[in-house]
Amino acid sequence: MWAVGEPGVMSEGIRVGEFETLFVKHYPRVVGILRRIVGDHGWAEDLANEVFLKLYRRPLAQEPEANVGGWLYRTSTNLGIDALRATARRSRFEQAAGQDARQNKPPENGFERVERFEREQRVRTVLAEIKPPQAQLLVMRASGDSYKELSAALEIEPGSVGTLLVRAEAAFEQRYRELFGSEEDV
Amino acid sequence: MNCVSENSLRAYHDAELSAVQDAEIEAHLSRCADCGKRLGEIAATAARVEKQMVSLGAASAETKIDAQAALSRFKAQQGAGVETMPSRLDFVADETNVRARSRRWRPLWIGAVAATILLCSLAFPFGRGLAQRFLGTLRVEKVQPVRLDFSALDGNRPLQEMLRQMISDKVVVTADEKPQPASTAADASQLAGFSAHMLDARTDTPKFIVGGQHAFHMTIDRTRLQDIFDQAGRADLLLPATLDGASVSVNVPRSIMVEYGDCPEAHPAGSTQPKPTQPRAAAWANCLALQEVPSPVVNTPSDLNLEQLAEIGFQLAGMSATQARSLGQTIDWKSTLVLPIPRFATSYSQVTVKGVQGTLIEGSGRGGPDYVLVWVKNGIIYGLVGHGDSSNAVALANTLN
Repeated sequence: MWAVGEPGVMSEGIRVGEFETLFVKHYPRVVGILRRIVGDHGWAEDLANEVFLKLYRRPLAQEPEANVGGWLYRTSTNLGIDALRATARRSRFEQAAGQDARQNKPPENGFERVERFEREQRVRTVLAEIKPPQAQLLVMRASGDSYKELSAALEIEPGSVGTLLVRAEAAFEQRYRELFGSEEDV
Repeated sequence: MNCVSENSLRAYHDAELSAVQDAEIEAHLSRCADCGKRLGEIAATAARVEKQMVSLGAASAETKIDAQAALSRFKAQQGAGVETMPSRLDFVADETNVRARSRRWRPLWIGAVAATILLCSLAFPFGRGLAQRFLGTLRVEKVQPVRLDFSALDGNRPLQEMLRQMISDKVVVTADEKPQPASTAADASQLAGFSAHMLDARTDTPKFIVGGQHAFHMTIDRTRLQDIFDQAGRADLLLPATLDGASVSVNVPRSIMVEYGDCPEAHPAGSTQPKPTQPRAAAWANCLALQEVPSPVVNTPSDLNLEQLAEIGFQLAGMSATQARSLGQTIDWKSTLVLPIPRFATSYSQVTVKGVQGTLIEGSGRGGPDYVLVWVKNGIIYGLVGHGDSSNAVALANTLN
């Protein structure tokens, strides 16, 4: 159900000003997380808009601001990983990632650029193959979240973050080897 | 101290423990080779995976993100935008009247038909084959709720005058019948030309009103339409040349409205009769209006690329080009009634009615909550308008005989 509210009031809880504040505060990180997952800035922005549209239409949004941030990051990683997993979009992802690698024009030679692109592509493929909660955990940890932040955003017990990380990394490594063989990096 | 758990070893590695906990683990590690080995394995795996994950982050850091600009784009893309979240339409002059109640929802109903005329006539991607030269025909088989916002066109008097003038010049009305009452379902059916359906859940005797037929045809003048887009501030939307001279005809058949309940009579402005003193919510609690109309029929030239025009229509309604394209691709234009969600709606949801998909839209007016439930079955579009709790709306609709 889409819920809309009174003029100037959103979704039974968040007011217009609050929404704008939340948008400006969290948008860069949301896009950053999504770009890390899907590899294309434009695509990441499209997904970020979806994330904020969900917030905008959220039926109940009475949580403290900190929890809204957690919800945003959790929703972002969910959407990003869903996008990766969608086989229909796989070709788009590969194409987009290729464009992204070309458009960034990093200070590296052609060989390094190709190598980097291929490595990113392998990582994204593995993230799309392992369990979504594990992929979420790895992406958010790589974004610099502390255990406390991971616990709040992903709604997991603070006392089990370490174990879940170990398991997620093991799953990542195992799937990577299955798909791409044993390499130095993994 | 027993051996350290995997969770604690990992947290120790990540410096996520307190100083006291760190000291305890270090003391244990100094005398436990197994835990030391396990910590080494955890650290090595973490380092390898982190190296892979960080490679994704390196590219992400290269683009500067302007959140304020993104917010402006977001607001523009969401039509009404954050600053003008849906507002109620306070156009009901006398809400103590059930007819007024149905008028409250009339823009939705009219909007649905208008959207059919506008979008479906402009977006009917059938028969592009050169051999298919006869007219293509649209008939509605299902509804698709879409959030459209034409608020950018409000208050634009030159634009409204251009539209009025174009309609005056180009639209030829061939049928414009007035509504007329009918005393029984049989009379209503005979007048409307199709069988009136009623709700078995309501045992009280309803009133019947047969809505008139409306039909028109028009020849599209591309230049004038383009001028209108320009006036609407959307000069970027370019209409295809094939549109020019295309003939579109629309026929909205007669409809039937079945009104149930002990509803107050109209209290027109200037009336000397005292106004009802019964509380509004209570007065309307038993009122229910069921509208039934056979699918409007829209004919357009079959070789017109109208799917492209639907995208333009959606963009005119505030969507981005990407959104318009994505949405246009999800709609089967041959059989779908695009149902604009009214601004005063508080929520909407998709439901199953009589085995088909319907849309339940809830609103809130001066007299309390109300709703409209729209579905299409066997070529008839149904709209059930009610007052109060909408939780029974689907159950009521399912008793349609």
